[in-house]
Amino acid sequence: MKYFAGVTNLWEWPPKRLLAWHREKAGSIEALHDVIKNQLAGGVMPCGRFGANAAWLRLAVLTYNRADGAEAAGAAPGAPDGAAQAAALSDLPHSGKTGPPRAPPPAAAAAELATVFQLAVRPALVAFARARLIREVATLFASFPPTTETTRAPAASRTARACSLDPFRHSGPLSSLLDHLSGLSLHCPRRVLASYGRITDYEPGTRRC
Amino acid sequence: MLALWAEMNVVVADEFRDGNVPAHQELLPIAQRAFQALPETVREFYWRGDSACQEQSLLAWLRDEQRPQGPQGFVGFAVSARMNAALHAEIVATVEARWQPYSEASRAIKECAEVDYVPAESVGPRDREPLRYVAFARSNRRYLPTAVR
Repeated sequence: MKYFAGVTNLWEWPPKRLLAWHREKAGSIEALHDVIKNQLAGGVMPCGRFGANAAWLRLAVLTYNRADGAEAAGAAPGAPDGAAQAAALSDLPHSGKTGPPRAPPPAAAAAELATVFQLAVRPALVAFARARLIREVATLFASFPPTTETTRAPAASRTARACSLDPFRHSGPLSSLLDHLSGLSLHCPRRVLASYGRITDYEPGTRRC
Repeated sequence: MLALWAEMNVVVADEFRDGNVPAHQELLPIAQRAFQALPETVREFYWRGDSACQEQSLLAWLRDEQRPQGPQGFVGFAVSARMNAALHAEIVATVEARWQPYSEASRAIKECAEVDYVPAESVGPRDREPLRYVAFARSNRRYLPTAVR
């Protein structure tokens, strides 16, 4: 027989209700510790300096507070390593931006981002969405009248040939802007040849955008 | 040390501590910060925690309805009690009729009971309400050995 005890000032509650409520903390604060330690790396300190480790924990806590919205929106089942990591990853493209503090209820705010969270954890969906986006943007810009401005390509891609997305490559300043937005991957995938720094396109027969 | 607003699943206070700091040390500032972080729309307050929260200054602050740097009024709390010889003896001496079934799992029987345990308190006003102790007992089921043929 094992005995445990609780101390309280709630005299009106029957013992069973009191203990049940008290033991519910196993599903709240203990679950929080689990997420902080195992999903957000709060259990592994980055170095031996107290202040840096304190900042590390604070970052994990802030991420947890943000991630809870994703969990409420139902992104958790689709995330390979949990909702906390999914939300942390979804924050990466928005680095340097600040937003309003999290307002209750979390589900309302997270519902708007639910699609993004789902995309963040499903590479196949991301590829599909990117293909659709490229096609629709290409159609949009094809309706613009052609300009006579010379394309300013980055130095590293001067040897590159145009790929099948010609409307982008010949539309002037917008084209050079899109060249810098490599994260959007609006061009065909390139490969680096043996000579360092020389980037070329795929052969015409093997293009796949 | 983390304080969680359970209904919203939001961490309202945190404190990074060195590994050699006892868990029950300096809990009151964290509790104060946690309650201060709650929005004004919250009117009912409860606190629950493990046995590290059975600390004199924290419990005295929670029991004081005019508590400084915190919400005014009643704050209900329940924290795990640290087992000591006197409390254990009192639990064992609790009469059978007081024990109520808590739950009955396949491998354990759980019961709970109110315990007449009133330890001496060194701090605080003498006329305040004493604390209530509730015991929880867990016993494993005993299976009769199967007959050997």
